[in-house]
Amino acid sequence: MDPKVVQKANGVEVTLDEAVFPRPVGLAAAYRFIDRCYVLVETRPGKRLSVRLESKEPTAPAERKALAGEFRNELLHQLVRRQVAERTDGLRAAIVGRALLSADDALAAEASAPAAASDPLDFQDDPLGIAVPWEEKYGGKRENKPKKRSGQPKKR
Amino acid sequence: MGSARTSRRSAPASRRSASRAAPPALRLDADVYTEEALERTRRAFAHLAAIDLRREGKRWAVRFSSVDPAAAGRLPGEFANYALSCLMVES
Amino acid sequence: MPVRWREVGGRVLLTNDAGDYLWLDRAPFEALAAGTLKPGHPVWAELARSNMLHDPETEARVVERIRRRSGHLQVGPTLHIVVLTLRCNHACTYCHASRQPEKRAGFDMSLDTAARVLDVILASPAPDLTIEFQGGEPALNFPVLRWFVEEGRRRVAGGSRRLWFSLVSNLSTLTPAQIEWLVDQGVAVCTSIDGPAELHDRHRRIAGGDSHRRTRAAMARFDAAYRRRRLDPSLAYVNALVTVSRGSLAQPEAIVDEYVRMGQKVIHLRPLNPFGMGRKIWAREGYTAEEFLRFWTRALDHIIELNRQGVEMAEKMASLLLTRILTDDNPNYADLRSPCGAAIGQLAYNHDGRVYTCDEGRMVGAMGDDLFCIGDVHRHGYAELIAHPTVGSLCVSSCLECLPGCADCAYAPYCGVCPVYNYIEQGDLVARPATNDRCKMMLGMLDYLFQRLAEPGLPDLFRRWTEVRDRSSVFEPRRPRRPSPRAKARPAAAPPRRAKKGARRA
Repeated sequence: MDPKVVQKANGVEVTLDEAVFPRPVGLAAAYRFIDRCYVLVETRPGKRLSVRLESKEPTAPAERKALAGEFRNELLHQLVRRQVAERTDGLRAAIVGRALLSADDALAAEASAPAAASDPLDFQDDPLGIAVPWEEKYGGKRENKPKKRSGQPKKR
Repeated sequence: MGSARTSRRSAPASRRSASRAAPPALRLDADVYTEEALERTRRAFAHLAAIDLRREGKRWAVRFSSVDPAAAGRLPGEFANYALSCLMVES
Repeated sequence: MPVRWREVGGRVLLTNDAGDYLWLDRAPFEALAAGTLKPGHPVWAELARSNMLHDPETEARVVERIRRRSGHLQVGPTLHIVVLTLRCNHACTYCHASRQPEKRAGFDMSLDTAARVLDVILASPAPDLTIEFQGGEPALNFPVLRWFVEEGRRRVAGGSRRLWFSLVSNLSTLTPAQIEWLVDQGVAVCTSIDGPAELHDRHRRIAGGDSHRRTRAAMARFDAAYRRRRLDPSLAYVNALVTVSRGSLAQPEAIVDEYVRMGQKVIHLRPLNPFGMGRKIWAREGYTAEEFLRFWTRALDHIIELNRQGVEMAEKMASLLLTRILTDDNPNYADLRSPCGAAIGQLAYNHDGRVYTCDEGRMVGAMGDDLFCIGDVHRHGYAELIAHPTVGSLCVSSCLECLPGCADCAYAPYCGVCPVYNYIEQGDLVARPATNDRCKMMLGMLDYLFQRLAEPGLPDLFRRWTEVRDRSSVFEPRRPRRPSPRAKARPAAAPPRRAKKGARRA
């Protein structure tokens, strides 16, 4: 059964098949637990990834079992989230791009300016990094700059 | 990715007495944790300890000294958590 | 063009992006899903009529309607929530607005801050702007309220932009002169009545314990002021809404009946939200999604029964959802749009000048977490505020066509998500729908409405809930009038004027 769960002293170790749960999915799921666990991620032979969750507070066996269950739910959520994000990438860039332009007439003017005609704003280019999920941009410290997918950022 | 000789050390924590027993070294899988993530984490934690970051084969060894006593027990775990959050930003 | 589906009450509900819907029995649905349904099948024509079949003509028609339904993507921030003060003369048991005692200094918006707030608001590209005064009790800072209205009107005079004002108040501190001024200025007024006096006063605490009486008295004074100006009473009235707390759950019918007695035509049964509220308060006043839904469906059953007896009454959330289901109109309600209204549809200005993506974000700020603060009017202009990365992040995380659980939900064309709620409840801007109480509430409300829509007579009844009369004539500034003795002898109100159907305020 994948993922494999082993109870540890004050937590659990969950081992995943990266062919089923790609590494970004495993990392994103693990990241959700850093408020209550110390998290260590390691590779294992055979394209497997081990995620060790050690509770910051002492836990009973039943709590450790629940922790493993929650982690597996979170894995599934992150997997679906990734799949939906990939499937709707262009749609998201179009809708969100339109919404942001409506609120920012400077940007809208730039998008519709004559100079832009030869270099039209292609929402697929996603210069604002709209299609980059929030966690990817700001998963850690908020001072990090948005990641650019392609194209150049519009100067403001 | 850093070479086997890569070793960085943060400025020693000078403003407080060091804990008597430094926390154990943290060994992180170099295939998961990037040098950039660990370097950022080391900088973020520099006020809590002197942190030596060294590539040893397939792992990063993170050693702590001159540790703020108030943070000693949690330091390795929080260091690893912070490094994970840095990976999220990079991915 | 995706078709989404959901099993409700043993049948299958199909929806498309234009909000069309169709009920199918299980067998034809399975044939459709398996690709074995043939054009001659009895439901084929229904599928075609409901725009569920893919062909270029249908697609062109649907795209045009989606454009109309997504009108909110074209206008920018129309709603500007201005917190004039955190002071309040009430101490409501469920208060989540970080209230401060009435006499405490340092929590009012200054005129200097107000001037900067107005600059930001007027820099918004939206053609119609609504400034909504909130608090605390915003009427406690009446001089600044007055300045906003007068200066705002002066700044837009002669231009094509329209500026509307709205006051969210418990009304209890308003003097007769202030009420006359608000009516003359066309400031829309919204208040809270939680139900019968006993229930209301138990939760909305004020010195003297007579909040209900004082608010009702002020509402009566507004009604009189509207009548003196010969405004149509079906358009000119104080809006009221219910904050549903645990004490409300057992008496939905009594709460609805109180609104009927008040002469209200709409009741907004607003669930308590967890923003800015301590866990102890939530433990005392909060409830589960299932408990709220039991309350809400009982209230709706009662309202529908009253409608059948000829009493005009609608529930606000239901009417907004029905508008999305039965029409292509776009109520531009921040909670029921994709992306949500945070920053791109509304902005919230704290008394000290800090700007938040929305009022919910401000409440999170009051809990000590400024994640949704996008700047300060003393340091940032509109363009800088709207370019803050949090704005884009909230847009992405509320674009429900692209979210796990929402992208494939049959109710996506009618629904909306609140990333701030998700952040507070689930620690992430993106919901885990299976365990998200707001999602459960939305599903429950939509299940109820669709099931009732399948009953004979209900579509016509519900369609009436979607008809919004244009009240803009009430909310234009007018010359102050003093009632003369002759005027008092005249009939109380002018005959109702037929408003332009379909038009609505922002």
